[in-house]
Amino acid sequence: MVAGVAGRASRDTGTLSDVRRWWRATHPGPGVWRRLDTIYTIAISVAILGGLAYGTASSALAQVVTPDALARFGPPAALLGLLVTAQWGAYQGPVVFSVPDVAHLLGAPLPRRGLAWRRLARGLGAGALAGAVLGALLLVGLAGRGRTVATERATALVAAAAELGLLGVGAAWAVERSAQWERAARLAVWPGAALAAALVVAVRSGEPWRTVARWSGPWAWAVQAPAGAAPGQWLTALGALTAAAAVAFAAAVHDAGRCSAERHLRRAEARAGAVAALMLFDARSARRAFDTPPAGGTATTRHARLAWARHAIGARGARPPARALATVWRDGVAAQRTRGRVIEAAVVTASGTVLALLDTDRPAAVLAAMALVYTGAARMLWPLRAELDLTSRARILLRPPLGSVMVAHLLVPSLATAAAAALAAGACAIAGGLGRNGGLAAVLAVLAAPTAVACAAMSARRGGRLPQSVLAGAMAADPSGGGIGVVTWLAWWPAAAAVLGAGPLLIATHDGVAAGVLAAAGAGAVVAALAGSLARGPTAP
Amino acid sequence: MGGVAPLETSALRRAYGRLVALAGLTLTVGAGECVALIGANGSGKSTAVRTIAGLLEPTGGTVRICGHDPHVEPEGEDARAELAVVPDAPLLYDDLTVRQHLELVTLSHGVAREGVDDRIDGLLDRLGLGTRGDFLPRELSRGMRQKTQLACALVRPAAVLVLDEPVVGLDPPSQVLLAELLHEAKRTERAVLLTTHQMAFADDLADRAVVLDEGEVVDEGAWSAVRERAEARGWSRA
Repeated sequence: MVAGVAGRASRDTGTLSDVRRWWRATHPGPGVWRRLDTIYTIAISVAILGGLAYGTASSALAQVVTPDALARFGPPAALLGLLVTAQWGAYQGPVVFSVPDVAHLLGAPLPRRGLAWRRLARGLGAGALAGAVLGALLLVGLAGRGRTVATERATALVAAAAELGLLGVGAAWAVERSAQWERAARLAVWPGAALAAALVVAVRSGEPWRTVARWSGPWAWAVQAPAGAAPGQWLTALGALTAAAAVAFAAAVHDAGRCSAERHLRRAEARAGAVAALMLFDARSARRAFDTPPAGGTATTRHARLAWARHAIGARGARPPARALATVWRDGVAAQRTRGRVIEAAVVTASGTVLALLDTDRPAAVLAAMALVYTGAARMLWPLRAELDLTSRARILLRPPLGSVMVAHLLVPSLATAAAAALAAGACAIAGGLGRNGGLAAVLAVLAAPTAVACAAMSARRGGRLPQSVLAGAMAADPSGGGIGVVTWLAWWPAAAAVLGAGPLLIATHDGVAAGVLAAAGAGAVVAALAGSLARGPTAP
Repeated sequence: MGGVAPLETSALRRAYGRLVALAGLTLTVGAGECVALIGANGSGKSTAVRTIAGLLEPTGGTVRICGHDPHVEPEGEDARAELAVVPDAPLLYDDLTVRQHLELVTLSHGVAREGVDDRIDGLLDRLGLGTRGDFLPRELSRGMRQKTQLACALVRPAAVLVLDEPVVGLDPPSQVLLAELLHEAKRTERAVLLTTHQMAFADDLADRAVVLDEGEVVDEGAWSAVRERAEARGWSRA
């Protein structure tokens, strides 16, 4: 017989269970002894290290996790946690197949629901477990420093955290499977962040705002028991949260098969790309693996063409006369095209500036605030990263030497972040939030923004990939297996930005104007040196 | 099957944001017919194939495989049962051998177990993979991986065979073999849709052709007529 194209025989009733059985036969898991060995190793490690870790964790957590802190910051933190978990569905989510799975399993006449539900159940279980572990950690903190927590309240905290975890994974699945939910989750980020900030303020205010905050949603229901609410209240809240979690679970299971192959394929390809990039310690490529062009679009062909034409005409009209301004023009166009990125950078920079100016008594808080400013600056430098990732393209499209291009890329981000910082400092001044030597502090906080931009540019110049030399050197010299060396490499420029931004500010507010000006001059000299270094071009790969 | 065509698309459209990759493809491929989708790079051929295969959601229009919509569940199961797709790049498991890939396909498509091993052996022999059955994809050349993907599409019954750039990576004898297999598919009443840059490959095979440019159908008709017009435009000399 010469085999060729299969005959049009009717299909057997092929079932998913046949495929599963075959898969288990071709991919045998670890044997019983191997599993027992793993369990024994974990148990013995926990027994030996658990006591030590508990003592350390308890004393550390007890300082931060108090009933009062939980009542004040618990709801906003839980809300942000839920938002982040839901956003995870926009990039991966609880149900992710491999690329061949999409071709061979999702491309077969097998029920999608049957293929997805086990992964989904594992994801929901993992979410609940992660929540329970987090709840247990909070409990360790609450019970520290001689405080006691009633058993029923402790149980309620762990159960509520588990339910929140389940709710978050349920939301992530909704976002993963549906473009509408994905859009809604994206739109909910800033309102959610604003609500979180409002919750902090509301809890500090008197009634009725405190009550409103306490019943504002599942994020607040979850912390009522450990925050000291009356039994009737926290039981009602826990009941409401349980009902919400049950609805989320039922909805997730009901919609287990309702995710298109395209959405699965997008996530499968993103994961494969990210894993490949991370194997090379290339964080930037890993991040880019998750950036995919949006499907859909309501424009007609004609409309789309006109949109392109309008853009081309607009861009041509705005083209600068001087070659030297090409990079600035390019940054301007990029900012116009990705307004969300610019707004995000401005908000983060402004938040960092406000925090730095309001908390000048605590150096750690000012340093953390400056790290936020660095984050905003790094977000603004996306066009520079694009140039550095594809230097061959940049060399063709941009005629000046790449060093000049890199320096030119500092202008727009510096202006944008400094403007955001200036607005934030102005708002602080109007609200009377500036402390000692407040005027100089405000100026220095604004100047910290371009400083952070210079540091972020230095970080960008290194490329997204961890150099092999750094890795090899770190592993050879560092007993931690290279961890400390790698973390140092990663944190170097954010830390530099934090020190250069926070240093003059702290000195000005604690040691006087003259010392502050001197420190600012020093920081300025460092920034000038960094710009000079950038002008020499990218570092060798 | 009645009067239902194996493959039908109506005003099929796909956009990526504001880029319209496919703008209203209306196409019918009958049983025993081969239609070639031709066009330059970026003309929308692969988008069309992926949308028909259910791997991309259409932003407009419909696809029907033997009357079933591959984008709607559980109706899509019936569509996928009748549709075999050979993508432009092989999508294979790293940890499954060539033979295991074919076993998985036959299982997941519910092919009757009786005689399936002989069928797999025969197909592997015919595709020149007889001695490579126990090899993993990483141990194969690009062309052999492509043949494995082709074998996955041929090892189980399907009313529609969709191939995206099937000759890429295949040596000339393998291209001849592929053409033979596609002729055989036509003879056994399969509907064949293929995309290609190589007009010569489709010469003896395609009954009709559809030319795409910027996602829009700019020419269609009998293969010979479309080919003539394409030659007049200097397209096929490339």
